[in-house]
Amino acid sequence: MGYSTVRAELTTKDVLNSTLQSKKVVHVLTHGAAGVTSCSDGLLYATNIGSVPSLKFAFFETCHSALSPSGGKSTVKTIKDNGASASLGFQGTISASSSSNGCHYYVVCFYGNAMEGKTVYISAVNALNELYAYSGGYYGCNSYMVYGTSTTIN
Amino acid sequence: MKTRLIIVLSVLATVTVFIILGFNSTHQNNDEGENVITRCITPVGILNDKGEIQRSNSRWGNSYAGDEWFQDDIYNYFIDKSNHFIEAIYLEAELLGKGILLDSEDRVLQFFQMNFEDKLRGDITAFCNKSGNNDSIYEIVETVDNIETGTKASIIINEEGYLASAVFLLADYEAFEEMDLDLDKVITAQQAMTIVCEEIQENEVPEEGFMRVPEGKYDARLKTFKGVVFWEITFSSVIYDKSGTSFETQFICRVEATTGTVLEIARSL
Repeated sequence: MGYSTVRAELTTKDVLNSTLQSKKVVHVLTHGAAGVTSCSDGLLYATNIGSVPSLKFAFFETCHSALSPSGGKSTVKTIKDNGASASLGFQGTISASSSSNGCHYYVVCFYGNAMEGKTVYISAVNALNELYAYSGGYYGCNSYMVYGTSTTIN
Repeated sequence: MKTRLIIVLSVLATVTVFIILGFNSTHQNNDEGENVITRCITPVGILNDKGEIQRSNSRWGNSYAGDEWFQDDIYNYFIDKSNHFIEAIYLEAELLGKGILLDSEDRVLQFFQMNFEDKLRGDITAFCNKSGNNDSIYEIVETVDNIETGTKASIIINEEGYLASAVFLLADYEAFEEMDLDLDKVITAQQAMTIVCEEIQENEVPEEGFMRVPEGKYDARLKTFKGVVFWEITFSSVIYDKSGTSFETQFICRVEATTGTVLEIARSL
């Protein structure tokens, strides 16, 4: 996709926040809940996510990353409102039984579509059907929520 | 453009026929709040004029029902060797909101019928969920004697009522008939749930810990995929370690429907 990649594991809240503020495309794989992302040193609340004007796209591969907490905004809505061109998350729980199936396969399909120049929305819907054709189920990925639908990231 | 118009007109023409005929359907909500539609079907042909086939589709390998595709200005259409239409996906971002109009449940079901033409031999059940973007995500399955044949589709309709993406999977009917399966030969959902809980307790729960399923609630659905009939069991649980620390996890599990073999245990992130 023309990007150089950096991979970080056991990411802290500060590292995740600074990554969102400095990178173009960020993919986050961890546990989550409404308005909350799990980091190695605790929970990153959506309210603590800073301004991200240079961020083109963030994909939060966590449960409930698109679910709003009571009286607040979801993680991916916050990302979009804080300046990102687009973001993608899930309102419900997502699951997998290995490192390559379920929601992880959805992710592979999503970026496959995105690399072909499709928008994040079209990549999201196509990825869901590709997951279905592969596995016969959705693994919770049918709760996808895309902000900035017409954005392309290739 | 010419090809697109032909296909769209072909779709609309067939839809019109269905509207005139009028089909009776039953609607109900299941425990998950999904809108479920069940009806008997009548096969109808479509897509006789599919335009030029572009090239072989090797993208999906064995997991995919078809092997050829063609395209017009809006979609890539994937078809199998019998010209059955198995997938339509958008090509261009700026075309959102255009394309095949499927603005009612009936039209979605007709779309399913049209694509499988004379292959269908059972009843159709549709499950509908909404995405976060308010897309309607239809999972449509064919059943014979309440067991899925494996012919099914996932059809996503955007908020404006236009087809966003669809995939169609055709059953191996010969293999399905050879199974000669009926519900008497299938373990019960409760048996499948018990098997899954034992498996999780043994392999997924920390040593000296235990799993609790609140109120014993679970959802179960008998499914068929790639020739395998299985129970798909979905439930939320609380898992405790020996110190009493607990965390919530949702499981989606698959248990082979006759042998009780655990095929998959997927847990939430």
